Amino acid sequence: MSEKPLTPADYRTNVHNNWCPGCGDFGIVAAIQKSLLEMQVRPENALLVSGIGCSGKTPHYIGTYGMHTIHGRSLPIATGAKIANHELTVIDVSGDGDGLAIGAGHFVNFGRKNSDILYMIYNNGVYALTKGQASPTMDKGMKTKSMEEPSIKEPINPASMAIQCGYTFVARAYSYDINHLSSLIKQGVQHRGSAFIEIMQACPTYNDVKTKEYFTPILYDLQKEGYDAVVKNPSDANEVREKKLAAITKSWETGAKYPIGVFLKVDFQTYEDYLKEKMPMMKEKPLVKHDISGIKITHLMEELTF
Amino acid sequence: MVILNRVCWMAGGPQGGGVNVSADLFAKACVAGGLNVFGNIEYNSNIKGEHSFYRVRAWDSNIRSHVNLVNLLVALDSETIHTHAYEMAPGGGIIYDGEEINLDMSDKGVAGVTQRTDIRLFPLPLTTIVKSLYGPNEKPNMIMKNTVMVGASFGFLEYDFSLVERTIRQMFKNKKPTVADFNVKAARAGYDHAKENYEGIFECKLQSDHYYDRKSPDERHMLIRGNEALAMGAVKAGLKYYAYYPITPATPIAHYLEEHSSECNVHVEQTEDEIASVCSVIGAAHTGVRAMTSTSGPGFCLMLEGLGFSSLTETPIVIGLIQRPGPSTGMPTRQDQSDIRFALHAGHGESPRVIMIPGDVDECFQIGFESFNIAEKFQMPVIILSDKHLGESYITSKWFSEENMAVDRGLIATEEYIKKKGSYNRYEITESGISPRAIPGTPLGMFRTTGDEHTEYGSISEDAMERIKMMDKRFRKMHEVEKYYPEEKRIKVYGDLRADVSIIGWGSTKGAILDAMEMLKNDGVHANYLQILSASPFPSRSVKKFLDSAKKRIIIENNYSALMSGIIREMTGVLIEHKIVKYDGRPFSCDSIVNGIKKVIKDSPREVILGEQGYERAL
Repeated sequence: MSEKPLTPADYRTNVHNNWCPGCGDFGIVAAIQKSLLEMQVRPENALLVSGIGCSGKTPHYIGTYGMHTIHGRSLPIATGAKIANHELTVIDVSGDGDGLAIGAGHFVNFGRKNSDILYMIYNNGVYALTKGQASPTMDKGMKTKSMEEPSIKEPINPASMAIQCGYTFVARAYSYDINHLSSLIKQGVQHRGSAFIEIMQACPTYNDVKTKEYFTPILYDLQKEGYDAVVKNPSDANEVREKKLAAITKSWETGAKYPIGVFLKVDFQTYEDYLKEKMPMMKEKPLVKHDISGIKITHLMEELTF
Repeated sequence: MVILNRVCWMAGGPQGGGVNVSADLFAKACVAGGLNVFGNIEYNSNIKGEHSFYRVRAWDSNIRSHVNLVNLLVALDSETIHTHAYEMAPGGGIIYDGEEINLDMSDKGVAGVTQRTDIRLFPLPLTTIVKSLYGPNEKPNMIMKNTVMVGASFGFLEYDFSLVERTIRQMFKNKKPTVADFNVKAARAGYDHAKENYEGIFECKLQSDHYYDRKSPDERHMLIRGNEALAMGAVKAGLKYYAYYPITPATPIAHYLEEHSSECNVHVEQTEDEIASVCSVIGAAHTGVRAMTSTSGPGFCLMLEGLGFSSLTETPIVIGLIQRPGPSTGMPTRQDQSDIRFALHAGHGESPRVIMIPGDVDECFQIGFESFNIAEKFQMPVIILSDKHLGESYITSKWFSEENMAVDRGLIATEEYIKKKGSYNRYEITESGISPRAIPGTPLGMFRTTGDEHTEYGSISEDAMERIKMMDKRFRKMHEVEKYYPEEKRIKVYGDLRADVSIIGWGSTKGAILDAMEMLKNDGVHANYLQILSASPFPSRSVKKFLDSAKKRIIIENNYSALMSGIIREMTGVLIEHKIVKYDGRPFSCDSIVNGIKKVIKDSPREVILGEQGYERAL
C-alpha cells in the first residue's frame, strides 16, 4: 500500500455537480474533504453514506467509498457497514426530511447504540429536491415562497433530540463556516461513539426566510464563549445528567443569539467495544478480514444429537 | 395385538403450562432410542392460557409428517381432552390428572369422550404423586405433574427408562444438578405408577434398539427444526452479520444464532424495524461480509425498498421469508404458503432475484449455505422461502454432509486486479453481466454506489442508452444463475416415471406428500411427485416435461388459490387440472393428502379443499 501524503485531489471526484448555485451543500463537501485531508484518513478507509434528496448526492462528489442509498435509511446501512469493518471511518449524511421524518425511527435508535459513526443532518427546513415542501424542522408559522400556507406544525430541534436519544457527541454547525464545520467534523470522527452534527444549511432556492442574511448576525460559537460541553467523569451519573440538561437548554436558545459548536461530549464504551468483547474474531481484526472458507459445523450437529 | 414402535403421542394444555418442555422430553427420549420422530406444534398468538398442543410421532421407519390420529394423549387440562377426543385412535389412551379433572361420563357435553367406548382413560393421582416426591416441609411444585405424565407415557409404552433418564440429564445439563435429579425422580414415579397399575393394558409399545451404545454421534440422529438447519447452513457459509426484528415464525433463527454468536463469530442485531434489518444487512454485505435477515410476511412488506436497492446496486444479500397466513397480521403462529407471488414480484420496478424453496431440513441446510454463494457470485438478493411448518417442526435427521460445500465469493476487485487493469468501474459492462466488486477498504477501488440508475462508474444517469445497458447487464446475470444453478438442481422427482397420479408441490408439503405416496402405494395407487425448489429462475423446461408425461396432474398447496399452479401456467402454458388446497392455517397431514388424492381419483373434481377435523369440500 502506498503511503505518500494525501492531497486535496485525493478527496475529489470528476462527477458533475448539479446543486443550485450558492447551495450550502458546497460548503459541507469542502468541509468534509478538508477534515479528512487534515486527519490524513486514506480515501479507501472512509465510507460516506447518504440518503435521498440534495444531501444524498454528497458521496458522488467525495473521493472516498460512497453509498447513496434509500430515503431515510442511510443510518441502518451505515451501521451494517461499520460492524463488517469497524476500522473504516464511517460518515453518514442526510437531510432533515431524510433523518427526521421518514428516517426518524433510525435517528432515535442509532443514538442509543453509541456506534462509532458520525451522523450529520443538513438542516434547511425544506424538502428542496421535491420543490420546497416543509420539513420537520420548519418553524411553526413560517412560510417559504413555494408554500401555499404557513406551517402549522411544531418543529423538531435536531440537536436537542440527539442529546435525548443518547448520541454522545452533539454539535451544531453552519454550512458557510467551513473552518468551524471541518473542525467539528474532525472532532466528531475522532470521538469514540455516535456523533451528531446538525448543520444549519441555507437553501438559496426554496428557503427565503432562513437565509445567509438571517443567520450571519445571530450565530455565535459556544466554545468561544467558554461553554464546557465535556463530561469529565462519564461514570458519574449526576454529572452526565447535569451536562445533558445544560446542553438541551443551550440547544433551545433562539432569537437574537443562535449557538453553534459542541453541546455535549461524553465518552462511554462504544457499540463496537461491546461486540469485540462478545466476538473473539472481531477483537482480532474486522469481521470482513477473516477467511470464511472451510467452516465446520460438527459442534452444532453434535449439540442436536441424542 | 401389540403395535410396536409406531405411536402418535400428543401433549396439550394451556400456553405457558409446559406443553413444549414435555413434548421436547418425549421426542428426545424417543430419538435417544433410535426411533424416527416428527413433531409439530400448534399454538396461539398468546403468552399464557390459550390452548396449544404438540404432536410427536415416533416411528420405526423414516417418517416426515404427522397424522391426524393420537394413540396417547397427555392432557394438561380438560380442554385438551374435549378438543382432541375426536382424533383419538381406537384403543388410544388419555393421561390426565384424575384428582383435578372430573370427567362426568354421563355428561353429553363432554363431546367425543362419552361417545368413544373404544378409548381408555388413565386418570393418574398426579397431585398425590407429586406431593410424595417432596419432604414434609417442602412446598410441592405442581409443574412436576408434566414430567410425571411424560414418565407415565413411557411406562404405558414400556420403554427403557434409562433413555428417559439420560435425556432428562442432557436437557437440564446447564442447570443445577438437582433440577435433573428431581425431574428424573418425577418421571420415574409416573413411569412406575403406569407400570404397576396398568401393566400390559396399552397396546402401543416402544422399544429402543440401543443404538446409542453402538454408534458414534455422527452416525446417530439429530432432532432438528428447519429454522435451525437454515441457520446452520448460513453459519457454514460464513455468515457474519444477521439482523432481525422479532416476528413469528422467523425469530427462532435469530435466537439460535444469538445462542451461538460467540463460538460462530456471528453478530446478531435486533434492529428497530425490518427496514433497518434489511438495510443494515445491505451495509454489511456491501462492506464484504456475508449478511442475512429473516422475517415473515408483515416484515417482508417493510423490506421491499431494501430489496430493490440490493438488486439495483448489485449487493449480495440473503433474506429468509418464513411464511405465515396473511394478509395483514393474519394468523401469526400458523401455517401458510401464500407468499410465493409476493416474493417473486416484491418491490417496484423489475429487479432480478433468486428465490430458493427448501422442502425439508436437509434442503434448509443446503440452501442456507448455497444462497450465499449465489448472492455473491451474481451480486443480487436471494430469498429463501420457508414457512412455519418447516421452520418449527422437529424431525430426526442424519448429520448433514459437509462434503463438496465450497465457499465461492464471486468476482472481487482487489488492489492487484485494479492496478493491472489501470482503472476501476464498479458497474463495468461485461458479457456475463457480473462486474467485480471492490470492498470498501480496498486501495484504488473507491467507488460510489447509488439507488439511482447509474453509469458503469456508478454515478447517477438518466440517459436512455445507459439505462438499456444497465437493465440488460443486470438481467444477463439471471442467465448466468441458470447455468450455475441448473434446472436439475431446481427440481426433484420422486416415485416412478409412470404413475397413476402425478403430484406437484413446493416447500414444506414435501414430507406429507412423500409419506402419503407410501400410504397410497399400500392401497395400490402409484404416485410420483415433482418438487419445485426455485421460483426464480423457474425450472420451466423440467416442469413442462414432467407435466407433459403425467396421466393425472394434481397440485398440492397450503394456500387458497394454488398460487404455484398459476406460475406454472404462466411459465409453461400447462394447466394443472386438479388442485388440493388447505388454507385453514394448519399444515397438511399425510393422511389428509391421501384422502384428497383418493377424492380426486374417484370424482375428478377440479379442486379439493381440506381442513382440520376431517373437513373436505370438492369443487
